[in-house]
Amino acid sequence: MSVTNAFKNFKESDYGIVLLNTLRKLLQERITKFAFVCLVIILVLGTIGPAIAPYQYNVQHREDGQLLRYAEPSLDHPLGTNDRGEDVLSRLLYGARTTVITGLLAGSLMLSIGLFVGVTAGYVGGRTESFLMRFVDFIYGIPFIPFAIVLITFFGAGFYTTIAIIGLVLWRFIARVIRSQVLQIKQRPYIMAAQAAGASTPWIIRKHILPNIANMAALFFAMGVGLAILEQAGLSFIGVTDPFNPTWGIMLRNAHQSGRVVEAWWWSFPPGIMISLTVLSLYLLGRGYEGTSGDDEVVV
Amino acid sequence: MSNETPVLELRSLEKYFDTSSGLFDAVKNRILGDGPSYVRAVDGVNMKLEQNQVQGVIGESGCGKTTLLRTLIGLYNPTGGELLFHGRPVSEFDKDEWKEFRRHVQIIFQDPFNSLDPKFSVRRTLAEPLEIHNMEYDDERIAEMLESVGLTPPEKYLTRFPNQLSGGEKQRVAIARALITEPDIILADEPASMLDVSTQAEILNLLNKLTDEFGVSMVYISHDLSTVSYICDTINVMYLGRVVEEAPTRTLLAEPKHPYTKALIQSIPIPDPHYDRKRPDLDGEPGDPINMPEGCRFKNRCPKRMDICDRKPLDIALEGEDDHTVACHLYYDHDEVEGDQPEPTADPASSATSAGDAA
Repeated sequence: MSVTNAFKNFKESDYGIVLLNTLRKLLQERITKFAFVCLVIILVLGTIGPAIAPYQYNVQHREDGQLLRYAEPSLDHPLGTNDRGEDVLSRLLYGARTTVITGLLAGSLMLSIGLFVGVTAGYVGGRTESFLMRFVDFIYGIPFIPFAIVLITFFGAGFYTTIAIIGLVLWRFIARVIRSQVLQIKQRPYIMAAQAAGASTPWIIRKHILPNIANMAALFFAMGVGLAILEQAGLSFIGVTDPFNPTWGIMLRNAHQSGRVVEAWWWSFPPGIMISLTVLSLYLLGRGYEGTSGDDEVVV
Repeated sequence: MSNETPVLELRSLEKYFDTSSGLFDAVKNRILGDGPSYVRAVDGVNMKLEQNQVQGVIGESGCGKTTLLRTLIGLYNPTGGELLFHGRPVSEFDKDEWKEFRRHVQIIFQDPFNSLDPKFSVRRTLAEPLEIHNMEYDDERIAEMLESVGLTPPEKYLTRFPNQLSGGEKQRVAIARALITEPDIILADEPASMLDVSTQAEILNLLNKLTDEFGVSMVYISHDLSTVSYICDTINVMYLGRVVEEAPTRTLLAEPKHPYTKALIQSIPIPDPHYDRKRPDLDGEPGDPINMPEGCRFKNRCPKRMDICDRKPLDIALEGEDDHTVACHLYYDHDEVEGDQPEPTADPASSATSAGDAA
């Protein structure tokens, strides 16, 4: 009872209305709907994937005492086995979790740093802005892959190290875009109205700036998540991340290293397709969400 | 006028903007020995806003109306002069007093399409100033306020968002937001100019009604003399940062003194194409507020220009009647005082002196 009440209250509050409206608008378009469904499936896979996997991801299957290498898809192994006789489907399902974690963690890290730097630079302006934006320029100057290789040499190749490196370097494009958005929002009369009403700077940033750049931030979060998954695949591809955690990127890399990308297609294609699908859906969803704000700006 | 302290008083208020930008200009100015050049957006404006009074400020685009308003509300720091709120200078306010000041001085913006946060429902828009000032409120109070600005039934509007409102409804919400903290002063920046004519009339009537009902004073800024004369008790005519004429509405419309005011009144549109009217004999454009000419600021466009308009630097204020001030050499016998300071009223004199110092 109290839960339904709380839900009803939420539905009637501002946030509830905004959320429901946004969701409704978001799901109107067919392609966004498709992206949304894809992402939900991937998220569900990430949560329950390991539980529904037919085998452990690192069990080496044998047949007549021989390692079952490069077995074609069959009923026992729906996606065949890889070069070490491990079940590809199980690895794909386990990989869903690590991939989702990578994406979300690195994406949130990128978004938080990017938002912080961007909003501060955009709203405060002046010398703070110059300093922060020159810092962003400096970060832009860092070539990502070589830098990651150097850092991993120092800190060791670990799953979370990779995430941290991705997040700590790739926030730069978010900061730039967010700053320009804030610069634009800052000039709107409703910000001045809030100032004139006596609102403090943190109040204005929290209540007016952040909600109004949320659409942009969501798009760039989606792009960040996609980028993080891709970059991690790239990093694992060149072998500078923990190779024992079966992310989709690492599966691709292993397939590549074995030299059997084409012959063992059941091994190389599924993770590739999953990565593309995830990133594509994220982009589409972000685009769709960004589009929902369109009717707020009334052109006189 | 009454002997009570005015709610808001401007004493030769000035707002200059530095035109130099950044280090390069600063160095250049230093080397060339120039002082930094200023845009004199608001230059020595005097005004007294009494309780319950509606003061109009009128002038063409770029004459400093909006800068004046933003200075009044404390969004810009005045570069000179004083702004007194209930007789106390705002420059001495501490943080709490500023917050109190902001509660008592509210603003209505020109553009209703952008002055409401698109992410805020009407209820939240109205609740925000109350939350900022930690005032008790409930939905009842917000609904009442909506009703008094003519948004009925209020329940229908509470959960609406700006994109679901028409321009007039938005402006009503903006007015409600300004009134909900029970302010003493409302600053209105052409609140009707972006609405269509039928809505304009409604909004003006509403403002008229509400200022009486809530007992607030208002500074109404506009470029449209017809709306100003409809709503204001007193009109200040502004030209290039200075008030050139101030008079009660009727007096100003009936017997304008300053050539600029005359031209303004002559150019109020008359909706009859066959009406043969006298065209105002003005040409040219308003001067450059950076390199202001010596003497009267209007002289280059003035049809009645005299020699003295060049020679008297800035100091051209003169009292006409009791409540009618005009800044023009036409209205005193300047032969008597030529080469000498004219006999101005106390306030304009101090304004002129300080402006002269700054220039």
